[in-house]
Amino acid sequence: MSESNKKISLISSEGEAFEVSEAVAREFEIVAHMLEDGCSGSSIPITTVDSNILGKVIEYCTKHVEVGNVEGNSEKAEKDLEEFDKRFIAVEMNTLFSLILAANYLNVKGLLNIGCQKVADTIKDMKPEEVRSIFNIENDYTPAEEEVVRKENEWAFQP
Amino acid sequence: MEDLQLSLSRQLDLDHAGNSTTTIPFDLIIDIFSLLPAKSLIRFLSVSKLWFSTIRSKTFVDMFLTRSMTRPRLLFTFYHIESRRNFIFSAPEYEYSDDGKYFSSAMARYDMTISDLDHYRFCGSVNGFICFISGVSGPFCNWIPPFSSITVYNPTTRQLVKLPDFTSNGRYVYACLGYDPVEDQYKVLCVMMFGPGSQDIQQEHFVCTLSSFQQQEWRKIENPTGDNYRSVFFERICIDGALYYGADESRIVRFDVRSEKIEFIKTPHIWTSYHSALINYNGKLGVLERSCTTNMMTLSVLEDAEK
Repeated sequence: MSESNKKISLISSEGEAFEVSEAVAREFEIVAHMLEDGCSGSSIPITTVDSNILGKVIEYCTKHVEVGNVEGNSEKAEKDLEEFDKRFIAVEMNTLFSLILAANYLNVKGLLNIGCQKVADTIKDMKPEEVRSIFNIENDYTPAEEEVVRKENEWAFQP
Repeated sequence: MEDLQLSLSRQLDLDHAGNSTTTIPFDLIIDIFSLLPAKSLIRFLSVSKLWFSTIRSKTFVDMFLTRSMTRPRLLFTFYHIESRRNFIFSAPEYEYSDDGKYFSSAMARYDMTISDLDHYRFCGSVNGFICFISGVSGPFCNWIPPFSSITVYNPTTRQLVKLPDFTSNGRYVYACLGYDPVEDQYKVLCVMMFGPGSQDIQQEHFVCTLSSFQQQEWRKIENPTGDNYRSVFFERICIDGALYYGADESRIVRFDVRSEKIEFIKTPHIWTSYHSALINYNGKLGVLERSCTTNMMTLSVLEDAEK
């Protein structure tokens, strides 16, 4: 694939333009498909993602493209990237959810994976009540029904 | 299934910070489920009815199993005589350190306890399920309890399925747990017979299909070879829909879990010792033999099980 220096503008939901290299924009699979389908426009509106989150997703993709381009010393590069991912995803729940949604919409698989993994790691040891509040889920069990389900699986509530 | 379909279109509102209208589609929540350990998932059954039906759905359970298969664990059990309890543990088969090398030690995880087992025998495991037969004495013990019961345990969810009791009429009872990947069914094969010293060993084979929906029952199956064997030895092993166990010094039984047919496989030579084992060698049946005289290990592999 020829590496061009072509720049592409990604427009956030607020109308703010983010200029990125084509290689970075292609990390968004949704954008890659648009480019392959002959959509040659230099600015692409990303109407469902706000500036704050779009900026972060671009930061993630830029880093991954940079590291992917470095030749040799791959072991160290991989480790650095892992460290970067770890720091990048250490955000509060609301931002995390927004990042996951954006990654899902834009189809950035790597980011979606680390996002989902982060949520899983965070809720892993939580109580059902805490999980309900995080996902804003209404408890549709009656107290008696809930008691039955809990009793059946009591061991899973022990540390 | 319907629940899953329904749930995919359902979105969960995530406005708990008050300044965001983030919603996470339910298919992403399912992706997150698939990253959680079984213990968390079991706890989260009580989050809501939707979560319950999703986590318990066949689709999700199958996905969880497929994922688990990529991270095999060793299952092991030990029996505490005084408390008459059997403890089941598991440990990762491989564990890598950061630099890609194997860890020399792995942490075992306590999975479950089985209580009140007086006389029991471990009868093999398939896909993380383990089978125990209780109330049975070993072949070298002359006391045989009048009845037996077979239980299949799932240490991951700590659930158990007790199969219907049966009467062995004083015969030895052997059980083997098998899995048929085509019909996606688990079956227990039960072989009863009198010991090698008897004139008529009265060998019988029974099969019970495991099901959570219908009544389980033992069905008698015929041995079309018409040929009896005197023992069931080695660990039973299930490979690709077939159960294998040692029958005598020159034959292995192959039980096709789907068709419920019994056939014999001739061993390459007569067993030299009982210190041997059936193993799964790259998806094929392997017989590992240790010779006491030459201090050598021999591995024979069955190339074409269907032949």
